[in-house]
Amino acid sequence: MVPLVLGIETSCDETGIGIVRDGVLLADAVASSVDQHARFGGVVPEVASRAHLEAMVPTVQRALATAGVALRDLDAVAVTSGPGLAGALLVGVAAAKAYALALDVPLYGVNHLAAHVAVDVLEHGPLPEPAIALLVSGGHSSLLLVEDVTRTLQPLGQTVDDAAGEAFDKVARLLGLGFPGGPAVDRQARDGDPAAIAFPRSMLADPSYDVSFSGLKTAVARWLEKHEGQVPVADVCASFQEAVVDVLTAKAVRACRDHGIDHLLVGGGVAANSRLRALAEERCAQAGIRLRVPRPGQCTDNGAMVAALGDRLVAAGIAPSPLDLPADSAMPVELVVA
Amino acid sequence: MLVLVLDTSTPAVSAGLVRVDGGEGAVAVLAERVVVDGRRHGELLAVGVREVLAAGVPDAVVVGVGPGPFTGLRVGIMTAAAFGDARGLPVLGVCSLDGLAGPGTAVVTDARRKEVYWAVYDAAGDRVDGPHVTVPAVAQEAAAGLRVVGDGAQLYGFATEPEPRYPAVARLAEVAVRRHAAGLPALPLTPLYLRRPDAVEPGAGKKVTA
Ligand SMILES: [Zn+2]
Repeated sequence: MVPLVLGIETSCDETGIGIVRDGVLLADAVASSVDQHARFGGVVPEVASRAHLEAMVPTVQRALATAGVALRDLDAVAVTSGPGLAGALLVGVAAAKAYALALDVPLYGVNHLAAHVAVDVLEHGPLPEPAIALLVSGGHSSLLLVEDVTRTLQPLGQTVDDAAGEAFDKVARLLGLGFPGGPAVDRQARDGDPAAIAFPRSMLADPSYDVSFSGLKTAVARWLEKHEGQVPVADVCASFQEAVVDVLTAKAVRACRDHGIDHLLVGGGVAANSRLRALAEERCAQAGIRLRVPRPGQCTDNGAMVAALGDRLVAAGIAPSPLDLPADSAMPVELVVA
Repeated sequence: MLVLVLDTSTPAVSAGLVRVDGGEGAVAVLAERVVVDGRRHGELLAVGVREVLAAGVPDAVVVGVGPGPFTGLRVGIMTAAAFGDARGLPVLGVCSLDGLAGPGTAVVTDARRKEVYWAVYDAAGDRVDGPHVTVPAVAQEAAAGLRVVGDGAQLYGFATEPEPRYPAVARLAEVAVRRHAAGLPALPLTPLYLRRPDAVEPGAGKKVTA
């Protein structure tokens, strides 16, 4: 019998419920509290936690209806147990435990970053391993070596300050483009010249795989302060965006080369950025690397990615998590199942 | 009827399986697991539920919805809601302070930040004032002449009895079933947020009013 897996994701502001059976996505329901955070200019943990509690059961029911299955049909429950916002994670973990306990099925507390990697399976089939994964979002910017997504991910580098998505949010705020900043900057940048302003490429020459976006954000702020007359918003967006994706793709391709790996997977909310996708494609083609990027809707946080990883874990015969599983806001990436 | 009862409104992480007789509303605790550890609600509650479920199969779920610290409350309410959803059971929310109540009693629990949650119950044991969140002095004044219980009253030295300190699962089940039988609505499955959230909108400067 092929197991049916429910995935629950509440690490930030999206209540995501996914249902997967044998690598096939049956439902992906998301309730977002992003509108409630917009007026604060960023995600407010307490607001997110409240929203998860309210949205959980209705979103589960919506996913079940879409998949055409009942709760009693489930064979396992997977949930993001970290990393993420502590209070938000706690709501999802409590729900997952209760569903698993009430249905008498195994519980898997999984790593959010591993789930971002596993989601690609739904669209592009089995993940070639080893692969390099570049995960970029408002919460993370990581380069990872993926030898077996069901067992461990090896961190190669990460941001030393702001996450890439945070830099997009901050620059969007400087330009009055609203929250979240990623899609807004991407849209503006389409009409701009990426070479108009020479913003810095922090740590590009650094031999590590770490990245930094704090200096870039400051450089944009300084440039705007000094600039007289009307701000060329499109050029600022395009030039800023180019600086971010230049560093990210250069380091990702270098990681592939250094490790002799010819598959790169890009995921996380910022992977929905059109310029990141285009430049990654260009550079991977040049370097003879096969690029895999999930469609934009699956790059952002959702339950499908958690269910996809849960599905893989069940298939690989990985031991489930104990019922006293904690929500771990700083869960290390090496740990796929807590 | 067997009722699964959960409460996480205080440092006590409580789960119980309680039999409630339809007729007189008599209650019997079949299994109970209480661990006092205010920082580990999320880790301890499901384990407690699993333990008490060994004593029988519940027909309904009752959950204390506070008042209390939000983080712990959300664990209890989410657990109750998801368990009820999975098993197709009714889930009834009750005021957690009712779990400490008795005739002519003031219930006072610790709200941290030098405040307490409190409510007052009349001679029949019905809540007639509260729940509120205030400084302890206000609760102490309202409690004058009454039996005073709860960890908040203990902390600020005006409890008249050492026990109970935390909500009792039997009492929560009894209150929920009695209210249900009387056709009264259960509380919604949302924490009793008596306080405003701490989040402040940026740029919303303080208004000066005369
Ligand atoms: Zn993410």
